[in-house]
Amino acid sequence: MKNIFLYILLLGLIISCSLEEENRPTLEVGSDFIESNIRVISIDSFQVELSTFKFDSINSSDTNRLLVGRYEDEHLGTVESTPYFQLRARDFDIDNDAELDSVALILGYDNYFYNDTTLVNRIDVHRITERFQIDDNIFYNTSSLSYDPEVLISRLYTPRPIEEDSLHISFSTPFTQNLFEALRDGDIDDNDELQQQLRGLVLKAGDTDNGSVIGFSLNQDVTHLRFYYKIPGELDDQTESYDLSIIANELPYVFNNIRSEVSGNLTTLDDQEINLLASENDGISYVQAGVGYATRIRFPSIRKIEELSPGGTILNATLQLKPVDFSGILPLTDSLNVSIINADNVITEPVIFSGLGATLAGLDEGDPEFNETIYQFPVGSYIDTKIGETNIVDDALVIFQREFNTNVDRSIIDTRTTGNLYTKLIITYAIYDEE
Amino acid sequence: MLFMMKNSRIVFMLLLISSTVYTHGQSNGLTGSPYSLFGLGVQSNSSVGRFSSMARTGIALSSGTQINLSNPASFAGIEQKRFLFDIGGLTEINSLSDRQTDDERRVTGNFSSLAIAFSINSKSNLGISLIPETNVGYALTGIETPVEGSTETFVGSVIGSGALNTVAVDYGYRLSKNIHIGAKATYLFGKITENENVSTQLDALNISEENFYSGIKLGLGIQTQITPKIRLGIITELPSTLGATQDRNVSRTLDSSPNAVEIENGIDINDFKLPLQIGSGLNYTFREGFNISFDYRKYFWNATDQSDNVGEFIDQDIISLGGEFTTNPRGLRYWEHISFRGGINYDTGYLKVENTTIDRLSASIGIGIPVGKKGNQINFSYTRALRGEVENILVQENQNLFNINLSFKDIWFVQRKFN
Repeated sequence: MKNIFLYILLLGLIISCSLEEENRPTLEVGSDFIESNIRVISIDSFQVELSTFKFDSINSSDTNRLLVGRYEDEHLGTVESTPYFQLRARDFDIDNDAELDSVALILGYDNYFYNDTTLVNRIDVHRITERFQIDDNIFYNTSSLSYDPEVLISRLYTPRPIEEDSLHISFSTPFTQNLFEALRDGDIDDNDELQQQLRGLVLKAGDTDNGSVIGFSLNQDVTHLRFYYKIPGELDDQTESYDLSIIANELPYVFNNIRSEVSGNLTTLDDQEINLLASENDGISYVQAGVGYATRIRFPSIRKIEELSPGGTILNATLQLKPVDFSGILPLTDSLNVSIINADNVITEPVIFSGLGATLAGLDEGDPEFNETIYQFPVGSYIDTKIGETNIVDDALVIFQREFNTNVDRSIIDTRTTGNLYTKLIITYAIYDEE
Repeated sequence: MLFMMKNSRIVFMLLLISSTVYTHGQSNGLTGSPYSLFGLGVQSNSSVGRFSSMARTGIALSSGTQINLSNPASFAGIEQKRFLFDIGGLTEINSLSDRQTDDERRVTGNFSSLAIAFSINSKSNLGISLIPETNVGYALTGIETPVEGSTETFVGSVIGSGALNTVAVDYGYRLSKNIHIGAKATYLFGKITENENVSTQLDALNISEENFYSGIKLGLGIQTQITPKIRLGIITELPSTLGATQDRNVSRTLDSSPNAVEIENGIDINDFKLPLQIGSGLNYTFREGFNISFDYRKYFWNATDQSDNVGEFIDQDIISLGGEFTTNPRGLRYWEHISFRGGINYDTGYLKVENTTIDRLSASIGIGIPVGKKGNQINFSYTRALRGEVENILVQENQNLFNINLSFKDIWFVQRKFN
């Protein structure tokens, strides 16, 4: 009899174990008679308030290109960039018998251009007349150095930033002749002495140019002031060259002055704290690198979402921004930086993160024929923070160009409601507890 | 109590029960019925002994040879110094049909019941049982719902699992040879989990709710032998309230990264009220080993005034008819001891959805095969049941239930003396 009970217990265990594993059905019959307790709502009617402000200054020493040119922008006035740079030598060994043949300022294209490159640009080369230095060793887009108003050399050119390697500016002047002789004769035998003679050069666009802004490389292999010389008596009369180039230095040695002449509403933006509401500017706000325009984004009515239901939560918030008036020669950059700024438009959080990494306002080109180009990016975390704040913080999102200090790319954001794709905040909100 | 002290095997059995309580609380696979979405789930198909094969008819039947949980008074029928033991397993194969989708099949199964009964003294007996009261096991997936204010849809799923289990103590007392009375105290407890998930193309919300229920209900019963062939039983179970708390965990994705919304434990939620139940049964014995029974039960759900998301609770009536035939219980040949059983059961249901009550009709057949010493049986039963109907949003459930129970008895205390 004892054995029987043992047997029963074993059997019991076997039954319970063998069927223990859950065989949970996951099927669709019956799905009709459950009404989901969860409602999911998509809302795109929350106000998106855009305004433009201008960064007081942008660090421009930290550039990797000479940005030169001037063009007139329909929205943003006359945009002009003027590079200032030092020239240095790697060595001071020139044969004493060398005779200067010619001099050229060779500027290697780095492929960057903005606006129409079929138009003729002018470059006036001037000598900088003051020491190439500044407090704190940072030049800004607003910085400048005084230069000799006398033009050393002037060149009209049609930029070929993609097709050609470099722009060749013939530079055979008395100044370069003297400079060469001083270098050859040992009157200049180090860079400090060179700086005494040549503090640097400025490349000014023509005062009335309406052409393009072109990027030239800092690379000393492609951008340099090149002296061609011969040494008489040498067997094959070979032409040799000697370069002065933009050589990296601990102290600032290059920057671009980037500025614009604006009229109308934009003239009010003479301080970083001042905002120009898109609603007071024909529904338009601006983002422009170099000059320093950025678009401030607020969602003034977002806290009303709580009125929908207390037992709800945001699942997704996507901000769409509609760019307008761009073209092949005024292209849109494929992404914009997104940061958080305080009430004074000072960046407090440079990067906001989502599950996909650092958030950028990505450009979705859609079908260009149907005008479907739109910037969009996730702002759920930010919105969620705004809704949950007990003490309302007066901050905002800001979008601005990447490589903010080395180009003049701009985006014009239109807040007006047109077509299917327009500037709006799309929130996916789930209500799970309606009691 | 003295007997328990003396008999380590009873202590062992109690340990077994308590350990099973634990494992049982974790296993959820006893039903696949979408109707288990409502209330605290569907009433369990678990049963002990021969009763699943007799369409759960047994209010007037004694626990003499096999434990009968229908009526506490039945425990008075256990012979002195007997020990009864019953363990059962259940497998359900359900197929579902509605008006749109192809039929679907769901298979679930598990250990389902455990019961012991033993005599305390010459007049009274005690039973202890562990059995699910209700089961929850539904998974409704692919529920597409429009996103309001958008042309998109989101896909939802609701998955529920769990069980309300009971540990019951039955006490039966022989008032006289023909009048048996009994009382029953049942502790109900269980965890019912519902996991609801919605997802759009990029985003998801998940709500996980664990509802813990517990409470005690009391029952009374009487059985009388009116004539040598006719036996009457009456039972009642008093209304009771199950206290409930909820642990809730809401999480979501925000900007494509997982994010907790709220985690709250021990939230007070609505109690669940169990209704007053009355029932009576009549048993007619043609001869030893051949009898039929008729039961009627009523659950007064209206008085609990409860409703669910979609349906409301309404009074429930259950009528059942069951019989058992054994060729010759005292015969010398093995096959003469095999019991054949059958029954039908109609349950009006306690839930009304869109003006349709979810009723259930079932028919059972079964066989009890003697094993080992006299009186021990392995009971097999097969029940076929139809629940609900294909109407409106409802579904019809076509259930096939396979029960196996091992029912053993032992003259335990006597045997111990000879050991």
